[in-house]
Amino acid sequence: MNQSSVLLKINQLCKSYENRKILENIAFEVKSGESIVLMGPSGSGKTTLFRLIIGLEMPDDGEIYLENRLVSSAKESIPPFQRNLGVVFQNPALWPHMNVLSNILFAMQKKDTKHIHEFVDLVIDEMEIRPLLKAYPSRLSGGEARRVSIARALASRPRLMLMDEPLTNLDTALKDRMLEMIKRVTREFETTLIYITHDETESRYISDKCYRLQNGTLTRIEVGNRHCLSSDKLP
Amino acid sequence: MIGTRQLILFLRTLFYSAGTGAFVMIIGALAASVLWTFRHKTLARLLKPLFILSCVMIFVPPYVHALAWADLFYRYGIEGLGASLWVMVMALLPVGLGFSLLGFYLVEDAMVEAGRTLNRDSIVMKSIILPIAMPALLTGMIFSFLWTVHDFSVPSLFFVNIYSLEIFAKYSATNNPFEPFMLSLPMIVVATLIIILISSLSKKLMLGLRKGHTKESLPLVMPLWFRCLQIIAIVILPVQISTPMISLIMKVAKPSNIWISILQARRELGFTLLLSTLTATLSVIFALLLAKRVVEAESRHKLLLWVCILFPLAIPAPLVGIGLVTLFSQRGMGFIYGTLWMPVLANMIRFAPLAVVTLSVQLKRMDQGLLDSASVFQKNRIHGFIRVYLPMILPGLISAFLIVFILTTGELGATLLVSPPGRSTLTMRIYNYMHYGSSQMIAGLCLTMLALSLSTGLIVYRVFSKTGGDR
Repeated sequence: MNQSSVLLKINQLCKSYENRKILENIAFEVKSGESIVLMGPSGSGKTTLFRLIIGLEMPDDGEIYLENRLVSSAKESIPPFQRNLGVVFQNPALWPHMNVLSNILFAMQKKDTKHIHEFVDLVIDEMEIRPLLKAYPSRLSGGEARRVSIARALASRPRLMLMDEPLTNLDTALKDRMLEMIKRVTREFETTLIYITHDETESRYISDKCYRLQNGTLTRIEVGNRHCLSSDKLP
Repeated sequence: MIGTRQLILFLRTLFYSAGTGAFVMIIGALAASVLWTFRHKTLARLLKPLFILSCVMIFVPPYVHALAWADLFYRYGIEGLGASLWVMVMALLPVGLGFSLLGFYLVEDAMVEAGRTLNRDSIVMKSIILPIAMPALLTGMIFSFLWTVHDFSVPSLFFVNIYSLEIFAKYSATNNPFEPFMLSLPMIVVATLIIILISSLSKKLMLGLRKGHTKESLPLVMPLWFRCLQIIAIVILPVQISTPMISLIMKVAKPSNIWISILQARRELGFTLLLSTLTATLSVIFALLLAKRVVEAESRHKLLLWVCILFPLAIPAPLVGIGLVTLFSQRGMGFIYGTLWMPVLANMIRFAPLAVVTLSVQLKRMDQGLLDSASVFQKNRIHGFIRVYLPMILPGLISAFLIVFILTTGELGATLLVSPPGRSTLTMRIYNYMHYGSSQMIAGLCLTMLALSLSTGLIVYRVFSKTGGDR
């Protein structure tokens, strides 16, 4: 795919819950290979936008296009698994009855080829989870569980990765390591990334292209204007 | 010890009980899964009263269902094990539905949504939702199995012999407690193994009690055959609820017949209320003492504790009665024999374990943070207990009381053997009438029982759902 082609296009997206407007005429584009950050205070609609892009909810109005293909509108919605997205939720959401490897291979049930398994092998090494493959989620630490959930999202070689506050509740040192890892793998696997956070430090590390969602509307934030919430220096 | 005929009867009873358990769970799970595939607010609002009514039907004794279905079955020549199985499925459907709803409720939204981004919904249902809900589904199946294996009231009405009836008959024929005890042993072994399984599953269930649904997602898209099965399961629910009501109302013919039957059975009604109140009160006190210990026990002791608590559920009802008769008819123990305390004890043995389960669930739902803050701010322990602990545990106490109360009113297997001379419960009177009495009289009493059971069930639901701990 052309590096500068538009991968995700969101057009006049609106969503309300019980007459409360959450998103109002949201529009933006993400180009292939780009990393963007979506910021905003709690309750600003970040997660709603995330769920609309994934296809877990339908918009009241507007459209979402993935590679110029309409995937969501008020009338139709392509199922989430057909969008070829890699998704990392706030909660690692690892299935407790499957070991780490089965969690990662869940998406492979229908497309079991040698090529894909080679890629999964690579992801496992990149995320440093090879010793954990036979472990069950209940045995994993917070950081390990996050790494597994990122590996699971990457394993199906998605066109677009979406991460919704994936580092919540991790300590600063672990957060720094994970941020570095996320940046490295998205660069190495040439994955486009939408990263949702309310943490200024995380957003600065992931990308310079940042949008703020507030009162249902989205605005682009210039690098120089971004208010620094933390003085932590990142490696 | 056990002859070929009895071995065949034993195996047939296991097959019949397992079949009932399986059907109960399949129908219950299909009906409950509608909430995943049609997660629409309007539909959920419509289904809620149906699910609640279906679940509170658990308080309606199985023989009431049997009476309601019997006429229809006789008319079409349906009888035997099949008829008995269908009636038990109808009577225990609330168990299947309730445990399925609980099981699906314990599946976190995030788990399902993570799966939906990677694979099709039918695979998410098969590989994620069902396995996570499985401990609850299995527990429901096992409860249904245990209930069926011990209940002889329904099979006997359809002229089907089952193993627990054989135990009762053996004692009646020989008056020797040893023979029915030996006869019960295989049943007790099977039931104990099943209880060990329930106890290990309960840990997973308790762990999940604080999880649940938070968001509204697009419904899962399931294959057409699955949706057809779901619709069939949903249609069965109103049939299960309405058949006893309509059939009994038709049999009573006129409202005055209800009053006549209540007046004629007023002694039995009074005795039943006294027996049930005493049993429920003592069971709740006993359960309160035990539940706190179970919840706070170290995890390595928990399994053993649960097995010990639930073990009475493995004992066939007639054997509970036989055991008490044998024990208290010994010299020096006669102070209880032939008194009201015999059926009280029998029913406590049978149903107090369920009170312990109910209170343990309530204790688990309580927010430890609220109790901790009470211990900081309370004037003294009594003040903290009355103002904070008691209101928090009250829903569990009321529910446990009502559950034991209503199950005692419907108990037959043990009460029949230990009731004091000249006294009988409403259930015993109905059971006797079913063999010899007029149908209007039975229907009147069954309707009374149905009204009593349903109102109790609705109170339990309201109490337990309104004050759901830290939710």
